Amino acid sequence: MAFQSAILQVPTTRAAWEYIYALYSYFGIACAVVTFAIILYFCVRYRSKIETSLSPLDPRTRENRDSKWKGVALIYLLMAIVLITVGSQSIATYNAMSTVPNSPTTLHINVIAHQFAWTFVYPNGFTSEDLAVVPTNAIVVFNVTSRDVYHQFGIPYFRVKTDAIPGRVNQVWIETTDPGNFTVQCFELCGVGHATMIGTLAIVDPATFSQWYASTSPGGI
Amino acid sequence: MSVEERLSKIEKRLGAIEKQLAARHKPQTSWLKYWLFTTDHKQVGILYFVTSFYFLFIGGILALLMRTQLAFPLNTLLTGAAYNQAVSMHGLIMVLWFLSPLGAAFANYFVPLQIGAKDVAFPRFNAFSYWMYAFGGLVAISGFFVPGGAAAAGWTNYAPLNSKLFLPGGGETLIGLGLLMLWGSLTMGGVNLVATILVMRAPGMTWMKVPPFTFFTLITQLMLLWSVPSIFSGTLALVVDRALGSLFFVSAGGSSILWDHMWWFFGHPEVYVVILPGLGAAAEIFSVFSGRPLYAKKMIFVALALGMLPFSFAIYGHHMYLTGINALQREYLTTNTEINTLPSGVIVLCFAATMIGGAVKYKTPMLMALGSIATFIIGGITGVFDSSLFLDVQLRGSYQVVSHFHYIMVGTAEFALFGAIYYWLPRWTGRMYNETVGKIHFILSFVFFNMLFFPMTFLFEMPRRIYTYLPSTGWGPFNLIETIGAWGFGLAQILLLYVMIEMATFGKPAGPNPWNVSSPEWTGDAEAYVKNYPAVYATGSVALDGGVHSHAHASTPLNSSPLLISGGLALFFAGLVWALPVSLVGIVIAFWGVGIWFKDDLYGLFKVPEEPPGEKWPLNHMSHVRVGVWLTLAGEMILFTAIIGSYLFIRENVPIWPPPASIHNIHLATFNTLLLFSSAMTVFMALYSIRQGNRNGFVGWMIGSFALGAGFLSIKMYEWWDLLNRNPPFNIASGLPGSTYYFMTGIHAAHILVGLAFMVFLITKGLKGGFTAQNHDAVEYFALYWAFVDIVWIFLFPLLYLI
Repeated sequence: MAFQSAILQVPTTRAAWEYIYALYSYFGIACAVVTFAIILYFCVRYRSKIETSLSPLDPRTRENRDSKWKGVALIYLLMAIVLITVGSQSIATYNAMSTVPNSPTTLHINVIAHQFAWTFVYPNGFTSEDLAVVPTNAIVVFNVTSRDVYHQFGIPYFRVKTDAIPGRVNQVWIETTDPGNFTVQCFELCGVGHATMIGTLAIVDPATFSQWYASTSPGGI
Repeated sequence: MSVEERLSKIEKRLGAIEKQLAARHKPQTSWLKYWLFTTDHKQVGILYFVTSFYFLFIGGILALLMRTQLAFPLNTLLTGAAYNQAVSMHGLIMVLWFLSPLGAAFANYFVPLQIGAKDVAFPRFNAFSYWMYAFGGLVAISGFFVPGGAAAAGWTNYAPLNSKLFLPGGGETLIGLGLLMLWGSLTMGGVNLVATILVMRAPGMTWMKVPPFTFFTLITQLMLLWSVPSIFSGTLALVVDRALGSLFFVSAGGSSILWDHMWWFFGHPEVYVVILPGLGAAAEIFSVFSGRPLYAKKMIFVALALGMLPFSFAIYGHHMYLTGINALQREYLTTNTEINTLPSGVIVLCFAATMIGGAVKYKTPMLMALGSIATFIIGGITGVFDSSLFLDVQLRGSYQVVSHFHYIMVGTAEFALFGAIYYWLPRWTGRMYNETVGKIHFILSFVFFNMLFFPMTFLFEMPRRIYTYLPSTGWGPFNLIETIGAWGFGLAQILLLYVMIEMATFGKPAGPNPWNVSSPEWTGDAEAYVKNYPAVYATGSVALDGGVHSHAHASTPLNSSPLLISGGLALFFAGLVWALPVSLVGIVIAFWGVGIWFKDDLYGLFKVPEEPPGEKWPLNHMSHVRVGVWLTLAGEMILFTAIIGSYLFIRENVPIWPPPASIHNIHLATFNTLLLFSSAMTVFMALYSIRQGNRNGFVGWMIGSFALGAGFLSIKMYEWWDLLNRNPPFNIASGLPGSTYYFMTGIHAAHILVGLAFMVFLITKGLKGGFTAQNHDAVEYFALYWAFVDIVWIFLFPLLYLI
């Protein structure tokens, strides 16, 4: 149920996430391939050719006479290069994405999580259960908190997520592009209804949104 | 080595065998009594082993229930409530009652043998530790049989879902109580093994000569010692919340974030606690089956001691990325978490490099060890994804994380421990396992394991711990493959059971050293190991210095108090939820056990063989008892640091706090503080007297201290009584000021009470003339403890009464 209409543009948050994910995947797969190749090579190259029981260790080989620091240093160095590359990219992207971009159409919605639904509170005081209607091509900021237990607010398609904790407000934002219905789901165990704590983010074109928003009143559903 | 030396060694061996044969002809105690009351580290190790498999069975059944429920979208095998219980108990049982105790089983059995010690430092505490673990597990599991069912807030028990408001059933309280017993067990086990490894090594067994498994165990147990006190105080606060209505985890001041900190300060090191014993065994296996020394052993030891040990604590906050912690913290955590992959990577690659130049024999233990590092590589790499702050925004709470930590816990830890079973069980049973079945077990386990957990890596849009999902999500096919994998993996473990039973009953005799290993747990000769000459193998007798076949020959006496105290405590705890009369019976049994313990100490009935002097660096002048006392005090220090830290956290987050002077009687409290401090002085006067050999002085000063301590406690009780009768009420449920005040003074008072009990013991023993100018270690240790309790009050008094 990720999308109904064909998606033309990828939202900013999703694009950034996919970029970092791809970066980690390339390096991760490369590291895995190299490591497994080395281990398999050792396994084949140094397999025992005689099918007898184990021979006793030669006591003289029991102690490490030669220093192994070169091999270890090489491993450290290679791993550090990979980690610095991916880690710095990750932190830089996170910092870039943590400020809400300026936009003429910014909509602030307060999200109150509770067992087992989402309450969306609009700036005009209108509240809605499990359904958030927002316009296309806008910045939507969600101020997330909880009324009872620890929840987690996530919109998987947009790759955003934050904890909903009683007594605290955490912020996430998305940039909407094309119209469609998207899943809003709870990602932290919150009780018997955790699996069904699913809401919908409905993205509609600005004209429809203005018309709908004008018809809402504080407190109404 | 000269011929004479060899001959004398062989003679020594023959003497030992004769002695053992003589011991076998002695009248034996009954089989049941023997296993219930044993304090021998080998038997305790076997008890740990068998019990951990019992918990594996329960945790495994729960896992299969969950996987079957998730096989198809909108499946109806389990309800949401049942699924939550299954998922919570599965996690808790597998991590805390199966994986780490299985590591502890091997540590108990093999660490003393590997370092050439006669037993662990404190055999009675060792048995105590085992029984607390076993009974704690039973208390936790009994949650399934109370109304409302077992714990259902996830293995992390996040607040405030864990409170009585949201989970009113008894199961959550029972898991809290069971965990408290387990924390006790882990602390005692930790003190025991660390003290053993620190000061009971055979002569010449320097740090770099210690076998890898022992060193990995040392790091594991240090992590436990330093991490458990935090969660002990957290669990205690949770239980007090649920039982007495305090407000630590249900009000905005403490609540979720406080629990997060307390849980993960323990929870993150616990991950390393789970994998390190297995990796330690894998280190031995790689070396033995390649016929090569462990590659870069020193580098591995350094990476463990200076890398993993401190970093496991420094990065616990990466479990809290999305709670809204500040930017600097997040960068610090991302960086450090990625740095922490370095020691892990080095360890894995050094294991692999051990094969270089060797002649690798692919017996089952070696295959298991290879499987272990293969899964460690995959789990490690998927873990780097999670360490990234930015990726965690999507991955947290999803099945990608489930895949990652199962690769580490089931893949790395369990495969390595299975390897350890195949490698070491011939040492326990004296018989060889069936190689063919072992290999089939490995192949099936490995294939089905990957089928189970690899598809999860791609399910990063599927939330964890959901009991159902819609067909339109497209997760169905993945989940079906996983479920088939889960059943395959589960059923493959029947082969392991078969192998173990077959080995113990019909297996071919293994001989004393089937793998031709030089490590002392096989040769029984630590001296040969450190001096680097081939040991003279003991022939003609399997499992020479212990093992199940010679269980009639114990090096330490039987003792019933560990079983009685733990059993009594378990009944007491379970009774709080089931029926109060059970609690009363439990208390009586527990005190009966404590009485036996004290009586044995008073008359010196529990005799442990004297430990010959050995390698102790850097603690050259400390006895193992003294090391144990200091380790315990270090644990206590962390406990109170966690408590005081939580108090400061609460104070910072609660804007309105009544001025203490408006509540407390500061004059009385100050007088009481003076009483406590003067009792510290009299205790030291008592110590001074006994050092001079002045027995009457000792008893006199001790009685004075007892009076002062009892006075402190009486005034404290008056203070509580006074506060409870105030209007408006000031009790534990009246707000966070009340909750923190009663919690902190209560824990301190409990320490005073334990101190008073010790004083009664010391006075009785002193009157009997049990202490002399030369022999009064117990008095010194008590003085240390009492000084510690006073120092704690130095912090509590201003925090609670003055600020």
